[in-house]
Amino acid sequence: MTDFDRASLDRLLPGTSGSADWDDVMSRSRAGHGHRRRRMIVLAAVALVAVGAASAFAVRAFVPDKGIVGLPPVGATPSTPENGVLEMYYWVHGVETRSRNWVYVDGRLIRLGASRANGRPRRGFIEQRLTREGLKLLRSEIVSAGGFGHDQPPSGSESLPGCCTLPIQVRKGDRLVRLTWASNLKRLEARLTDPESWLPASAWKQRKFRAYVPSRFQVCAGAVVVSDLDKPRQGRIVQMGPARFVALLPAAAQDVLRGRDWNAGRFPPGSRCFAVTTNEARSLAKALDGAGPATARKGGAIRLHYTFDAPGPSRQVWISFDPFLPHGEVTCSQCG
Amino acid sequence: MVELEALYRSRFDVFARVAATVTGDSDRARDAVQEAFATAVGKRGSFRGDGPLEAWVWRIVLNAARSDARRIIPPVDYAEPAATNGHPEQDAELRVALSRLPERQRTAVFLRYYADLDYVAIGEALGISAGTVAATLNSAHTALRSRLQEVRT
Repeated sequence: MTDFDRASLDRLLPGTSGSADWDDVMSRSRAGHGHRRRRMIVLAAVALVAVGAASAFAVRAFVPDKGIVGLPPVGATPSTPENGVLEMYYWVHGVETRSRNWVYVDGRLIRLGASRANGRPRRGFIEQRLTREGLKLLRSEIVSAGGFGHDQPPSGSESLPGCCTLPIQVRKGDRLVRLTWASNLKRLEARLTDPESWLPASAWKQRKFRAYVPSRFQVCAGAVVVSDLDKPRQGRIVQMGPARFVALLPAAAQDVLRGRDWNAGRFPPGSRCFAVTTNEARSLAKALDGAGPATARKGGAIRLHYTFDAPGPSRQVWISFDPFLPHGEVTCSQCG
Repeated sequence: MVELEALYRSRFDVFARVAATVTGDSDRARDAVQEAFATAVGKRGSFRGDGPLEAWVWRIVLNAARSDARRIIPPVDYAEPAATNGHPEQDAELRVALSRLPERQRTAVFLRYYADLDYVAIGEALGISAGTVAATLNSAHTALRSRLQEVRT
């Protein structure tokens, strides 16, 4: 089979990333062994502590200090309160990163793609907490930077037409209004991207980055056709009802997705979605893990995402998990 | 342990490149191989010696790669094709044909024709019998031939 000898396969396979490192293997092995031993010790300790804590009605919060990729670890304490009213929202370009930011009346500042840590972009949704003073300072930074609605922009200011710029919004009464012009947009964006650099210590209830741990997830799914598997490109969404695309999945995946209350999704349009609690999301993910071979595609995703090859030419069914934010919105975590 | 280390040093490249066909990413494939060998070192006592050591390790490597591949994947974002070294058309056709094979068939092809494993070793690595390996490879050949002919006519 001339098309199909070792040399052909050798040309097709991606190169190796990095070289062999036996010391790394041995250290991982030792870490794994130590980890198992530690886990036994920790479990025993946890059991003891749990008995003590339960007797004292004490509950200690466990919140990871990095943005969560995929689903939160078991035991992570969800952000409280579960629901929140949005006070400000801004999607800004920083010097090196873009970030989306949601600020709540209760002081929570939730950010996605916010900043860099040790020179590397932060991943996942992270949470900080502002004091009442911090909330006020952040709000006045936006309000004093420009105008809203139909305010006439003064000469020399930059207007922010709704169509073409990233939104900066603040609450006025019962709705969010959009900044339509700014006297110095670059300065404002720099301040909003890096509030730690200028907000005083008294503005922070919790300045340190912690993970935003959601209480609920939105599970979305859909079918795509990829016309050319050989080139990087987006698949074309196939308009297909949930019953039909679920039927294309491995049996174990069908079992957990049948009978759900599917609604139309926004990301991408044409997808279908339903809401679950974080615990239900974990059970679903566990079932999907064992459902059959999912096809890997590379990328720096934050969301948990599965892609299954489906019968039919170049057809795939994908399933993704995205967190609900406190104001009930699910954002496109892939959108940068 | 000595054999495991020797296998690792002599075949690291082959393990990593085949694992990349499962993970879709060279970095993650390397990580899967490192993790798999660490697991193999830890579990070497459970290797019964019924089959070749390499086949047992392949099974662990493929499991690690699959486990990585199931999680955190963006929708349909394909890797850049590898360099073609002067065979652009044939390689492109073969790449597409291979990418459309079911995962087990594709892995069996790489284990047979790239890693040079025999049917028994492939069976051990994939957790199937040697007879099923033969049938799997036969199906892969048929599918590849028909797809390549389809492209060229």
